[in-house]
Amino acid sequence: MKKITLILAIFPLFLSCLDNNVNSVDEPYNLSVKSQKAYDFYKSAKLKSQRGDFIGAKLDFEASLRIEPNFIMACLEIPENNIVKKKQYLDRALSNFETATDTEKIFYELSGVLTKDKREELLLKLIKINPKNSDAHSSLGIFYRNNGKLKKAIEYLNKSIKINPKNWSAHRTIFGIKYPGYGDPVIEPFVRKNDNNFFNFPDSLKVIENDIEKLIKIDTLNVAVYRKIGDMYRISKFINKAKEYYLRGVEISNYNANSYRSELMHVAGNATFLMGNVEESIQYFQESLDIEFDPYLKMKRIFQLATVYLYDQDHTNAIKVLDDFELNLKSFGFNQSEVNQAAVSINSYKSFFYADMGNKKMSYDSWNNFIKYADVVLEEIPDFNDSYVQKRNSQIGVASGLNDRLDRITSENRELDYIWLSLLNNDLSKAKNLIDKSNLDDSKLVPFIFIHACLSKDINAVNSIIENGYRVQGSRQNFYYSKLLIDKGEKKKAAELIKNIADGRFFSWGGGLFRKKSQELFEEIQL
Amino acid sequence: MFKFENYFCFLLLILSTSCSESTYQKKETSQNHQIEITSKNPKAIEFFRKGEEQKLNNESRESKESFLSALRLDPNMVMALIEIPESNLVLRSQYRKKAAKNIVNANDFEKIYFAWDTLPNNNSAREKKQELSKKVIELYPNKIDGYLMLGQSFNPYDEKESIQGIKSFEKVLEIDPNNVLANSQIIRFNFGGSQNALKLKNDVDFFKSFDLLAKSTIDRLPNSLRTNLYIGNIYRNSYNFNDEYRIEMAKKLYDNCLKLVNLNGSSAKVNLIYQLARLNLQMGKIEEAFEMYSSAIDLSEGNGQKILANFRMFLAYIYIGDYFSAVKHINNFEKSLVNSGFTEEEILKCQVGLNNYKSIIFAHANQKQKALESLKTYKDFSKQLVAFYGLKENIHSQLISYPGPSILRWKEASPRSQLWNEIWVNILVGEHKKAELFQNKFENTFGDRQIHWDGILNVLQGNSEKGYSILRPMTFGYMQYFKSQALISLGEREKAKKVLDSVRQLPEGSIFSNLVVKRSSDLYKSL
Repeated sequence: MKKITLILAIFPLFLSCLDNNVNSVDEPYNLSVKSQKAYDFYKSAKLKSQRGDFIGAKLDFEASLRIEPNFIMACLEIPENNIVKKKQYLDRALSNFETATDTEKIFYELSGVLTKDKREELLLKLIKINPKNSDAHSSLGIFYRNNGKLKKAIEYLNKSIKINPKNWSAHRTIFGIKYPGYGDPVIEPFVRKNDNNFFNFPDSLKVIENDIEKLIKIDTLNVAVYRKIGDMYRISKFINKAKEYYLRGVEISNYNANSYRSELMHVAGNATFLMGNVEESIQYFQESLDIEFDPYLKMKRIFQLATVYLYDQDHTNAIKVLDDFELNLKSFGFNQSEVNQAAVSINSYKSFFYADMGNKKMSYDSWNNFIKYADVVLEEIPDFNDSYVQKRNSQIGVASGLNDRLDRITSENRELDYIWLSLLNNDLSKAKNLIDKSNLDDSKLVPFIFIHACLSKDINAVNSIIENGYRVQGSRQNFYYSKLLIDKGEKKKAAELIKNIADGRFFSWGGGLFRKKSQELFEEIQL
Repeated sequence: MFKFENYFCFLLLILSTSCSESTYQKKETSQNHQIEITSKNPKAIEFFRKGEEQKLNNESRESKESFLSALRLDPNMVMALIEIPESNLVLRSQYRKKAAKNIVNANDFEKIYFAWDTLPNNNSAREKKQELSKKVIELYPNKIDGYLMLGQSFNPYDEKESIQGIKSFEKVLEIDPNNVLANSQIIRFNFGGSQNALKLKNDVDFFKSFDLLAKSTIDRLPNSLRTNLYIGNIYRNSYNFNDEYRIEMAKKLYDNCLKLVNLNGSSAKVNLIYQLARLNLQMGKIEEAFEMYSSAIDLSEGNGQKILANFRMFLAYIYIGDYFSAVKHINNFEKSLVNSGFTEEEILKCQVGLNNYKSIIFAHANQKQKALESLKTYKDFSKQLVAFYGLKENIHSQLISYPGPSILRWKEASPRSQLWNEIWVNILVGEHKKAELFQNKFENTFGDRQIHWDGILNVLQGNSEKGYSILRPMTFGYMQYFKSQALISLGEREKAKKVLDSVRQLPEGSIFSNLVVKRSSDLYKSL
């Protein structure tokens, strides 16, 4: 009841956001930039970023910096994936710190790694010195949204919209609060929408379509939003609708060759795959790869293509994609460090793909190559940790990541992956030894102990692990558990577990090991 | 001079017809006079045309992105695949292979253009290129493309051929009077090159004819970056140490360029700064010049631009005869390669070029041991670069056909060029016997004797008469310097002075002329 009251209280607020008749009084930030032209390019770059066109944005940032090389905000925000160059830009921003305005100083501080409190303090300060700037308010609103503070988030997002009724990020964030998931955090009382709680109801469909229409109208050239909309439909029974929205985004990308076109083409492939049209989906994936030109993003598409083949259990093509990439790595546009990092991911993937296709020898050969390159990378980056990958992704401007396996080079991840690989290669005693010798936390080892028990068909061990409080979750645990249950004649229970894996709608690479197998198993059980 | 008379009449015609309309309002592109090109997406054609225009203005960063935008919308667009300025040569070759694969869908023009573009720009291929261009003219007589291709198939620095070239470009102007490429090529064919620079300095009538054509061209194309810059360069190169008007004109045109690049944040700004640096160098403002060379390095964005800016600085040091600083900067740059973020291909190219430079500089600075050591390193890296590209046959012609500025000297990586440079260095370090053996080896292996080396070798061995007789017909600046030495030995001091006077006035340019300008100037003064 409390939740319903809160939703009712919040909805009028949402509605008021969409009143576009108010004149904008948005006052720009006080920046030290001297050239109007440089500022115009900067604004254009920001708009392109918002629309998903990272390549176009980078070009405009560069143009802005050619006119005014010391333009602090452009130096800070340019999405440069070459770490050497990015550092040069940041150094340039820092070298002009003394002449920076207070606003720029705040943005410089915000670009660093900060505690939540410090970030909040800076964002509040930003509002204090820019009280009539809608972006300052929406930034704080987004901060609160990310930290689960719904009321405050709505308050500042609405203030932002009051200042500028067409502030995209405020509207988009509110939309994300209402329809969480797929990049937008879930904040109570809102929940992810699915068929049972939403899509099965015609009225709900009317509401969402209405909201989509209003959002799209705010910036008709924003194609990034079509990814979000498609993703919402992708988990529903209306997968065709997801594809429709993704392709609408592709169409709009044509207008200015928005570099996000490749991403939308790729997700259109995902939807097509889910609809069962594998051959057609591969065409989308291939075109998505063909039209991606930035080396990092192209690498991402290659890994995605290999993953899709894995989902289709076409290991030969999955490995061929990776082999071709490895063969051409030196001329791919990467420097030596980047080549080593890519080789890490390629060989990590290959080791698991080979294991899944039953080629144990090649699996371990690839694993050894993975270790070899991992050592090289660690020697180059001795202080490597998980945040390195996050920082790199945010520098490139691809928050969703590059689908690479670089994070697996740490000693802990290597240990976990090797146990998992041994299990996948059905080397049960080897896996057992590795688990026994490991000093890692129990919570990290239990899933593997569980899988080991399943593969050993030791139902007593399995039951004992569950009785000790282990919650079976994740596709690999559920898959092996289901297989054991089928062996033991518990088909109904197995079917329940396996159904979700078989009907998975997203394409994380690990899921590819089990989705098609689960579908086959599910059909088998039904027979 | 005769070739200007026809052109002068044509100019008058143009001037009289263009007076009635504001030139500023006229669009300086000529798309409706161009042959239609094939793409499944009309937007892709727009991006292609934009890319061509940017390429014309030396805006390679933007141009590449425009071509990529075209390919993002139509990955199989033949003309974009052919024309994209891709510096990664493996990638470039992949684009061209894709173009070849899709050529069946291309129109007649595109098919001929691909064949034309595949042929190198050397004497042996020129005739074939002319034939192909004429085919295009036959098929599309009212369009400019065929005439532009034909004009560019002639050698601008050959008196007879340049007349033919100019005729073709004049045909373009009959159809499209404001065509930027044709207008600038007419100026290049008439007044470009180091020999014409010398004539412009010393022949007042010749300079006047240039001045007239230059002014009328700028009047018609005031907003063309390419035209302003190219004409500015010729004014600068025509500076004869007393007519300040020429420098003023160069400055004025460079100012126009600066306004244009700042208006659109053009990446051509780096090249413009470099041209301004050369202007200062020519005026003897060494300090200002080197400040500009440094700022061109700082402003460079892509790796290719950065590498080029550094090599330009080395050349400038060579031009002023400061070999010590040249080597110091080369060594610093070489050391920085490790952490440069450059790709393996870029590093290999740099290493070939840097060590080639060093061997030549040391050889000219009488540092035999260092020259031979650098020569060896240059040869080692050359072998690695050839292996990187997987070149096995016709290595020399393939390397020469690759795009990229010749001042980087990585195209000297072929076995033929290695031997050629070996002869040169050995001559200069006094290893005359070895040089002779290499000369013979060169002739036996590649079938042509490099007689200029015979000329220089004879001069340095004291066979002045023989040396002079070989070098006498040669007009190339570097050979002229040795010719003057022979003349001094033969007691022809006045003749030697005349030769030296022409060499000392050469503008900063290739490594060959840069090596002898200061020496010639010193020798001239001592005479």
